[in-house]
Amino acid sequence: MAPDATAPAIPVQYSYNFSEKANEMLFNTKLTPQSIFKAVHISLSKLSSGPTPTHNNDIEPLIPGNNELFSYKIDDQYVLHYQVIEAEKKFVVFWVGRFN
Amino acid sequence: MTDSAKSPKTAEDRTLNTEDVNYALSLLSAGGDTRPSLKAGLLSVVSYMLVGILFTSFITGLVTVWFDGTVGRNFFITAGVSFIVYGILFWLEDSKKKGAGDILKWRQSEVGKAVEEAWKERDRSWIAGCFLIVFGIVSVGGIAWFTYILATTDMIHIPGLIVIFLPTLIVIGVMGYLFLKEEMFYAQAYQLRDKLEGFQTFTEAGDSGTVSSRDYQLLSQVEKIQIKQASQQVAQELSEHKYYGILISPESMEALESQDDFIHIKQLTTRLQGNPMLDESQSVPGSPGIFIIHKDDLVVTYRVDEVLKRVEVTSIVRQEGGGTDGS
Repeated sequence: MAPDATAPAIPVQYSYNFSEKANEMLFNTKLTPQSIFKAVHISLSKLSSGPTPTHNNDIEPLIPGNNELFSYKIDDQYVLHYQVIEAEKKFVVFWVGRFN
Repeated sequence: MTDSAKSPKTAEDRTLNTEDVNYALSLLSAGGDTRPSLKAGLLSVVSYMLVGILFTSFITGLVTVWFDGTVGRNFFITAGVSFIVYGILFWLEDSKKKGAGDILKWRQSEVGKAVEEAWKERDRSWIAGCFLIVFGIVSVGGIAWFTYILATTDMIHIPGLIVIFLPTLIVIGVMGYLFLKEEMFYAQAYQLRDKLEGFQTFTEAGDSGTVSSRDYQLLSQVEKIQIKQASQQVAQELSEHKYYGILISPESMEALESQDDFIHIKQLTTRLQGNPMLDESQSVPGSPGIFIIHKDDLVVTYRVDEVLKRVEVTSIVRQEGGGTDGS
């Protein structure tokens, strides 16, 4: 399966992972690895492309004022909730939401 | 989720597919199987109302007995009857607590707390508190005024009685309404779970189920609370360096075809978590710091950055006729 050509280049400084809970949730969805990776990469690139991630309409702080927790809307069905650890240049998805 | 379920909140019903239903059930089932009953909730409301009547009657009885023994006795009789009925209800409720439908156990569970938080965010407000305080003051003022009337006249003053009992009844009514509303909110949560369980069969067959916008709002609130709880948990795990990061290029991703492949990549970090010391036998000859693992037909090379706690995948290749499990 070829990756989506429209996906932006990966900002190499960030790595990612999924919490055990998020991992379990992902496998209860129809999301493919590619769609997950694409979402992660798009989110990462947006995260590193502006002064603050909040200037992107589809990335929102999970908790107002908190600069580590964000929500990224993949499409009309899924929302990734993730935490960014700047010190380790890491991005950990901890929830795949549906009702918000 | 279907588009209609994700549209902006309106008063319309929401359509859920099988994925939505399973996810919603996981939200409402996090605390286990114990659930409160509407009967237990209503019992609590009646109990609280009886406490209000008991308290008011007793205080009024104490005040009026000094001026008029007959009136005082009547109030004490009301208080006594309230006390007996309350005792019976308390015993019934307590008996229920020892049974299978343990309301307290459910409320202390993960989902019970989430529902409680959702209730607090939605309906409990400081306005209701102020309302109760103001009417409480009016009640006390009414009792004082009635006492004054009794002390200065020799007759029962009907307007005085109304002044006492109207605010008191309003206070009891508002408190009862708030408690009833809270109980109904809990009841909504477990009735929704029953409904979703009923949806499972036909949504798995491809049909969709419909919930009201009120139920959808409840699901959204419970989800929001559980996401917050999950964020706190992952923050704790991250402070313990539980998760190594994965760094993977788009080119390497081309070799990933299924969720199983995804699991294999994820296992790299899981293995490191369990045993951070790398197996040198998996190192690539001539490439210091580069390691290789084989999983089925997938061959993954990577390096580990222990400073940033991450795995950098350098290549993923699918080999025809593979099958060696090197992980």
